Amino acid sequence: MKKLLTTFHKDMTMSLRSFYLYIEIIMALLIVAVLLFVVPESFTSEQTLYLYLDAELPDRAVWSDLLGQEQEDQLLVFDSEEDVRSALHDDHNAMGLLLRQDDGRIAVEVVLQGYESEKQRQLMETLFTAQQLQSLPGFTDPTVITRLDGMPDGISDRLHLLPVFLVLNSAMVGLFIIAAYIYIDKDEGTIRAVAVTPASIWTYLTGKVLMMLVTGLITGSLTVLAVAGSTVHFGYFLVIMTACNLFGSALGLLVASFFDSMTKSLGALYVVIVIMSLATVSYLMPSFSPWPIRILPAYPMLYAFRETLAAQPDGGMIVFWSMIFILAAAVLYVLAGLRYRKTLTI
Amino acid sequence: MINVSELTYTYAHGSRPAIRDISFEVEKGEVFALLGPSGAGKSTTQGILTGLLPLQGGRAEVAGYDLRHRSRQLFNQIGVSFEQSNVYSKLTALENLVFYRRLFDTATLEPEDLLKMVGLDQVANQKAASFSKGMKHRLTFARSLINQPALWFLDEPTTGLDPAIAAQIREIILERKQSGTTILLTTHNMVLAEQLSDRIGFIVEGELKLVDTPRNLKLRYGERLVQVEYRENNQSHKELLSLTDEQERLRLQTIIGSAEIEIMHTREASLEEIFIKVTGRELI
Repeated sequence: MKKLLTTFHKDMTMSLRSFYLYIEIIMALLIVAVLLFVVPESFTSEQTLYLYLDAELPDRAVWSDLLGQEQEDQLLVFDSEEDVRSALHDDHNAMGLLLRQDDGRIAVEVVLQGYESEKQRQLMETLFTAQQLQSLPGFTDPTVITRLDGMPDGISDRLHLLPVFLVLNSAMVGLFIIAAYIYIDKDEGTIRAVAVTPASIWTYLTGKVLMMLVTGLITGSLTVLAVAGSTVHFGYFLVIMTACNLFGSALGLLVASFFDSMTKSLGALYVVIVIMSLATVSYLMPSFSPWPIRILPAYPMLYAFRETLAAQPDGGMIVFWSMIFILAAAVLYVLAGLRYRKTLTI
Repeated sequence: MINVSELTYTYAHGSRPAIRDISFEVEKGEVFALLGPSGAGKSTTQGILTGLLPLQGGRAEVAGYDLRHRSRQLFNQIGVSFEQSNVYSKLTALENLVFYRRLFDTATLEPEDLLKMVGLDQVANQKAASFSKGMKHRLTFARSLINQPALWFLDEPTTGLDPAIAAQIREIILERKQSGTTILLTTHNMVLAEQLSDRIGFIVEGELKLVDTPRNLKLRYGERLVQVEYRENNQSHKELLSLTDEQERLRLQTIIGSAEIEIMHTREASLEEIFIKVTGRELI
């Protein structure tokens, strides 16, 4: 244990004196800034309706109240059709509605921006027709909305994005950087100096893994606390972050063990990182979740991290995946260690 | 202290063995030098004996440990000074030694004393990144002594150092030799090998060609010569005469008997000349 603590202390000291740790921290701060100041709390688009009511239209006040009864701040009434068109020109997120009295009948004209698809236009038309149906006697709304894989309660769109950054920047940090640290030791030859001491290869590798864990926990905690604040269930977060970080470091160790320099390993590490990143596509776009993506380790990681942000987190799910990743990390770590025993000093 | 038998090693991408059937012994307290040109197999041999390379063929026992069943405890007994300096550049000289000493299970020397010994005490708190090549080499050298090794591996300990520092390093090695440390020296520096070694092994193209003491090597392979300068008939003369040639020996006796000797000294063949004579190769 003394040797492990010594190695860990040395690695942390060197980490504090090198730029990798600071890159990680700067990245975490950038992520926090983007999530807090660029990404909105909610992606829901609130469209404003610009309304013109013909002066000859009977019951103008009733129409106005009817259209704006739910969201008054999203309805603006104009005095002329030209004013509506001019306002729409300035606000591309709005739509216009012109109601006229035409030969004793009410004519409805919907003014769109032009970027809407044909399907959207048809949908709009259908909605207006359906709206008319509701006035028929005995009408009942047949629509039932069921959420199949919905967002857990309490998670905003901003928090939904957070796991992507936690996985890529903090959990999987070891995948790339632990290899860099080992190659630095190889280049400086210091690995040979340690190899002729009673300290074992396991001590050497564990020191590096612990260093990456501390780095991941610092940057991850910084990010999650700044963005989610007290929303995060910190205990669960630490558990899943530790498990995922250990997995990332062990995977990085194993991949790096097949190469003798950073240059040679870059291709392989890049491919692994890109493959892992594919899981974020399905996470952000659940309708695209083919099984090759669902079996990627990053896929359950993303959902486990999201769960730590929920109002009522599924603790069983978090602990289950944490156990899986710790087990997988142990297997990868042993494989990497066995390879390094043969190759590290040759 | 070291017992090597038929040691053979081939690198993964090597077409032929880097070393072949190497056998030798090093007694406790002995200084044994492996002499050979670059690529001869010196560092490969040392790499196997220090555990940096796996044992492929043959047998080797180091400090009482059979390398077929390696134990990390072996490393409490040995120290290794590498040819290429290998210290942590982001740590200070002192931090390098403090980290290293904590990896051993045995009593260690004080880092400050070691730094003083190699003349780095004034820069103990400077990062190694700011050191010159010679300073890094001295730090690597000092580090190899921190566990007071009973068996000390030295790989080209003075190569690339300026003469004053090289002399300082040589003195430290001699002190350790006198205190009973067993030393395996690998070098292509014949002068250093001759000054420090009890026995020398010539290694060429992965084969150990010859092992003997420097004195025996010279007696066996060197031509003993006498250089004499004398005055005769008010004129100075200079001759180089072989002590193994009967006629030249008689000529020397004649000069001694009849002329005024001004300078006379024996001249031995250098180890380098003997190496070339034995192996047919130069020490490059």
